[in-house]
Amino acid sequence: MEKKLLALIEQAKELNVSYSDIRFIRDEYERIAVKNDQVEEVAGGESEGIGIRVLVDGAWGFYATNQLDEEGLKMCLEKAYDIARNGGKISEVNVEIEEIAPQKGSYSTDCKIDPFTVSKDKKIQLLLECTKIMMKVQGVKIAKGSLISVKENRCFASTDGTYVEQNIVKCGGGIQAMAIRGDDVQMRSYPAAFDGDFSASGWEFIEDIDLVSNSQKTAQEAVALLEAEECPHDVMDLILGSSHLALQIHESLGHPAELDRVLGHEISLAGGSFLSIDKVDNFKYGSVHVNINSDPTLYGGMGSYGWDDEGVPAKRAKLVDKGMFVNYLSSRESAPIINKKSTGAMRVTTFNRPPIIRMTNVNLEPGDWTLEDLIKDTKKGIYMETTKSWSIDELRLNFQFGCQIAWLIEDGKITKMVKNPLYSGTTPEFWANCDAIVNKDRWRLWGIMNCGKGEPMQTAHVGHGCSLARFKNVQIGVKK
Amino acid sequence: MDKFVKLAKTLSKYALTNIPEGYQAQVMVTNTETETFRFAKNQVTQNASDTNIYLHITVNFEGKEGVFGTNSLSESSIKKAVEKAVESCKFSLKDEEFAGFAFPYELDLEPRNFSIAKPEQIYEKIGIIFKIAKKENVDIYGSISNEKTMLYIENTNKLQSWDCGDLNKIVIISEVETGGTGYSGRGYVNIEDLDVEPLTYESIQKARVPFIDKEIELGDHKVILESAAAATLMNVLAFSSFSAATYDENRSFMSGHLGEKPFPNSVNITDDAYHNLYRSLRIDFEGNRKSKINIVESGVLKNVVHNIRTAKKMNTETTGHALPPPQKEPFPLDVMMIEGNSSMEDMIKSVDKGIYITRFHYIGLVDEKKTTITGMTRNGTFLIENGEIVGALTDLRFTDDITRILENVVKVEDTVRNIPGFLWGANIAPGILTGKFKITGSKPRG
Repeated sequence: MEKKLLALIEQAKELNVSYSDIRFIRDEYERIAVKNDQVEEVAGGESEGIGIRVLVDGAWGFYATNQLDEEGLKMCLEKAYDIARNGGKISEVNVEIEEIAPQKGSYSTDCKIDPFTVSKDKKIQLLLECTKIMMKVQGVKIAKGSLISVKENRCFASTDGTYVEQNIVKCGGGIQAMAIRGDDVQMRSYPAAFDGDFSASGWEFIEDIDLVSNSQKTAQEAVALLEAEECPHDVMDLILGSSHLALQIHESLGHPAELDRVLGHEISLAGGSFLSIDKVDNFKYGSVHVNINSDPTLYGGMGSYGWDDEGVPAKRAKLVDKGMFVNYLSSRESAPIINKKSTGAMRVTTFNRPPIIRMTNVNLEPGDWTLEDLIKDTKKGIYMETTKSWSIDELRLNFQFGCQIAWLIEDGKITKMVKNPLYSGTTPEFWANCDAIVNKDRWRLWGIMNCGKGEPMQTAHVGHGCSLARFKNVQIGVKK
Repeated sequence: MDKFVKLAKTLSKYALTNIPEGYQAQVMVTNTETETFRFAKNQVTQNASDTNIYLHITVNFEGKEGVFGTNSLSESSIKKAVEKAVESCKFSLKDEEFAGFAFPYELDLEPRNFSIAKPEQIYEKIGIIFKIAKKENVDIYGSISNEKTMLYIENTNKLQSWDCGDLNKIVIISEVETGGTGYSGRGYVNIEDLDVEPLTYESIQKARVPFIDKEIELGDHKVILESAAAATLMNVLAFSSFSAATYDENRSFMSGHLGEKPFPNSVNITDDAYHNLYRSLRIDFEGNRKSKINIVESGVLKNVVHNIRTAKKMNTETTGHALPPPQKEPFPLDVMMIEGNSSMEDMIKSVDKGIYITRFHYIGLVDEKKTTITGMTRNGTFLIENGEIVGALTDLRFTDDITRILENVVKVEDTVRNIPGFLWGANIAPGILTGKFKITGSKPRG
């Protein structure tokens, strides 16, 4: 592929483009899902193709195809060029991008057991064992489990003189128990909501999350929720469990810190951001306990890579430092606008999508509390776990999230389970009220498979590392 | 289309000749062409186009299923894809609810032959929008996107079925110095017929409504939902309630209630792939022709949609609403609310005190069975007093049951619009006036 891509780069240069990058991506996936005692899905797929981006007279053009013969590649370059050239006629602003040094090399996931080498039969039996345990718990009506494996081969060349190759392996999975009585539908998931938890590593990750040993507890909690009282509507202290806190970070810091949103490029679809450019180094995002970074170099991160999709090497970047907002997730086009260097966050999900700014692994650094001490220190509070619903406004200020389960905390002790917990708030106020973060012993890097953004829609894989955290005086339930 | 069908038949032949004896199989070939041109602050910020041909093979042996997809289309690659699907099938368990693949029928669809818009045609439209933005001194954001899909299905029952459709849409957001924003958007059939000027001015007009400094009380309000907001409610119900699978598993608010009348006569919801406001695929992903299904008729819960699997289980006929494999649940991709008989002007005039909502942002489904959703309003939320829009409001949070919103519908607009949505399929609705809509919060300004 290297020869083909470099030859295309030469052809692009002959067209007098000011910049071009070309990526070949081959993806492979496998999904196995069971429901109760049935195998619901044994599916797989692969796709490959090439995407070409050119900058001509200050305007972008992008075209992609799965036709990889000489004719297809030529057509792809010509179409990308034609689109850019036509675009330049109506644009008054010339796009310029940050110069970077040519990159050479390769990057591979540190994977002990390739998940594609584990037999489908073993995967099915693992999931059926989980659903069998869950269905044995009286009151469970639906038990589900799924495992997903992904392989990506990415070759990238640019007119900077860059050529890099990346081979990434990802896998993960989860289980769910659903208890239904009349109109009351209660669900518990392990280790996280939706399809579970994911990691850029091998089958060893699936063994580590130990779905079987957690099946009974998952099912029992779903049934217990049917008997639980409704979550109260009140203002109290909120402790968020790690898997849901990952989503809180994702929605209220990750997305608003995407510089393309700030510049208005997403306003018509996903929305803008309250973190306007004047807020860099000048805005108290949260309390002094809040330190958030973007780190695509982490082992196992779903947002980890060697280079982003415009050839910028992966690097750690501080986004929030002791509560102050200090930087965005950015690209070679957007970073110079705020006089900074790209944080290397331009990513594509597959060959036929253009690169856009995405989260990498966006992480909340651990504090020094133990969970036990945090609960003891809480007079009137609630501890919520596992995402159930989420909604946030287009500037990422006003949010309302629901969790699958919660426990009331009274005078430093967990007293009872409650169902249908919801909380709402305003982003900077909420994070300013973060007064305690649990230590690194409970810090975990979560993997999310379904971060939707862009038009056409791109569903990206991202990571969020965090432990648990407490937020003071939060509106619990719906304000009346 | 003819060229695609010829290619798809060849690819299907590669696949089906490699199916082992005794297996049933379905081949699905899609050819998609997409174009998405986005703009922000009166500049084109992204243009992405692509073409991709993908083949899906589903095999089934005595109820055990395997699925594999590829866009490597050589004979040897397709043979390997079949082998992978067969291998998956061997490891699978017998699915008692497998109901077979579709059987041949007379495909009497009117042939379609159209091309995706040319980049210069799209730039021409964007250029007009930019000129208006400059003249009116507003910032304009948005996109024009086109997606053409050709679909071919063939199976071991000798069914051969094909169609093509497209989904073309424009979104315009205007922003003025006060921070006011306004939305307009449409789905369209032919780019030649797309008149961007009135749409641009529609969004500017909304953005220019001055903000009014009035606190909105939390709780129930009379609310007018513009087509975009009403269509979003239909999309959520399509997901949560209108499929035979959610019905059968008691996850739908309709479960066990067909024939009942929870809504007023003016609430009519249908699934109609043949509506003239857009060009949907007229076959489903099992190759069956889509039927027009009345889901809610004069407020009465009438039908849910089926694929072959749910139809067999519930002893009825498929309605042609299968999704691509390996999805097992049917889905109404062409859900729309039918127009009523009130003009928007009359609807506004009839409201003594209420709120006008243009569209929603980030709807979260809080309770699937109860159809409880939460979300924010966006790009044009206005206060109505004494039958007039008197000012713009900051975005509001709401949390309510869609069924409750529909139970309290007072008027339905006499015009339906095709609105750009997130899903592939219809997003068509009129405006509605409901007597009860629960506001549960607001976004701070600035």
